[in-house]
Amino acid sequence: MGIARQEALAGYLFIAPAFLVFVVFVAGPMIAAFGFSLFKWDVFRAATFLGLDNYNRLFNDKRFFITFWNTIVYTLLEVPLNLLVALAVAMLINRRLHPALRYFLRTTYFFPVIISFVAVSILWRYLLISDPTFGLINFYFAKLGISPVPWTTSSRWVLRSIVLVNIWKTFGFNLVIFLAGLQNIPRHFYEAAEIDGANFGQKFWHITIPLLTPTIFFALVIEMLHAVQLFDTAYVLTQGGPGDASRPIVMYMYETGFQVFKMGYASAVAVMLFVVVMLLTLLQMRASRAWVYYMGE
Amino acid sequence: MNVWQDVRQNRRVGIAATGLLDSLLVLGGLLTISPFIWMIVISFGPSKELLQMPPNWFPWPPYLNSYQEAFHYVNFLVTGWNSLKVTCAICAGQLFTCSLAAFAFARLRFPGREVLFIILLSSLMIPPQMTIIPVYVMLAKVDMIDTHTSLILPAFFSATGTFLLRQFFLTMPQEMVDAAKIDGATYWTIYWRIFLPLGAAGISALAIFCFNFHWNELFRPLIFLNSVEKFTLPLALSYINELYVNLIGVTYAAVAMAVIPVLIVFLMAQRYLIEGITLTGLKEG
Repeated sequence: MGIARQEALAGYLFIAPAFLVFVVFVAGPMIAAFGFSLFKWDVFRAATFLGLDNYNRLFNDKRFFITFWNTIVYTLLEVPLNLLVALAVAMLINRRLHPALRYFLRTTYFFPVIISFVAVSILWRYLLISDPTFGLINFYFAKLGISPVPWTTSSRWVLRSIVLVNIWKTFGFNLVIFLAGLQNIPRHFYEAAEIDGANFGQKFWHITIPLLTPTIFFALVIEMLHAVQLFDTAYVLTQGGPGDASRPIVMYMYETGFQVFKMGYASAVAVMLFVVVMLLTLLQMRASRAWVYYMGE
Repeated sequence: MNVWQDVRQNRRVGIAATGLLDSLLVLGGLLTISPFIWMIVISFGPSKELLQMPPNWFPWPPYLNSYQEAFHYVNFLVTGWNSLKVTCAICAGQLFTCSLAAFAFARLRFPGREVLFIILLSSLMIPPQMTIIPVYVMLAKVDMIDTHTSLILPAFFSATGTFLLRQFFLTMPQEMVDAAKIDGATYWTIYWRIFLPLGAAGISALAIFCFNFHWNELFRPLIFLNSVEKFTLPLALSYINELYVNLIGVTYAAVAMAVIPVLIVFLMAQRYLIEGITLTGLKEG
């Protein structure tokens, strides 16, 4: 056997385990999900073919639209706010800091990132109790003269509360990404700008932001990908309530599929989720050409 | 030497401004961890039940009743062991398959290499919720629902992991492969004896992320596991959360018990974790 053939054989063998798992547990199920969505199937009886009926029903399903809308609203609130907070803090930290201070900040801001959404949601569940006699936040709000906020009891507030909790939980991650991005900006840009007499704002808008756009783009794509998959926080913190006010699309899929066992219908919901993720990603890729600036281009 | 240069140029204003910024940041940091402090305080408090505000921020002496009960309700030894077992198995398998594939994609030449790599990477765009129903059905067909294997086996592949390690291996010179080949080394030896040890930094970063992600996972255990004695920690916590709504002390003690091991690991491995993100921008889940 020739060396090239031998190398090729080794290559195929080496990727085989990963590829096998990929085909069996990712690619196959992905195609199967499209197939399932064309059937009516409750696990216990044989499946019946429906064609596109599930999708037809989906478009007349009020709960589908409500939960879909919840996910969209959540994403539109959480993603920009999260990145904004992370960027602001990154800007404040990106200076010469005392090592002890740097360590303290890194530890405190990053800690929520590593603990589970379940732990975080349970923790906040009691913090966000509306009654100021029992809820810590509303108790201190009352002391400051702020009227109590119906965090998880009002359908107007509940999504905002989830946004708040998840920003608290994840902004530390984006903070680290932004810090890395800021530190990659070559110093000589700032030095040149200073010689030309640029002030703080000019340097920020004309050097920092443009050179940070690839980092912002990266964080945006990842954060959005995660936002549309919202489940854990809603499941533990609010159980989707009050009513359906904080029920995200993934939770609707979970309940349809695994609690009432409408597997076909739930698959149609999953396909819709996939379509949204694809559309959002493509949209961002397209839009990025207009605003992301890559050095050396 | 960045945008903050102006602020520092005027010395007196500079000192005042940095002092102000520093205290702002410290305040933010304290605010960020205050929920944890509150949780710890409550969990050591004398009462298991919902407390009247304001809390006693310095409970002394600490009470351990809540911990005793939480330990019992969460069945901490069993669920903790389940979590540890599942997470370690997933990480070992995932690191193996990913590093093997990454080595091949980075350093071996074979027809279709680029296409296959792009196909694998495309799975980054597939939300895991999309595939959960077919995976569940498949696992049910082979009678694997309600086993830890159902959590472990499907996680033996990660697109992010393969991508990250390939990037890492690409920074290692091709000459090493060629020299080893001349010395008669097999591809396996090159992978096992050269690339794995030299890629330790990338591999440990991936290991930390893998561990953190699967240790905290709720969605798949919620769907795949039914028996209480097989529950993982997050699943047991979410269960307790529904059962003992009013027992804040017990619930908080349970969460604290789940969080403290993670905290300890975090404090020890913090540098690698943050370097890992900086290196790769990696985030799973």
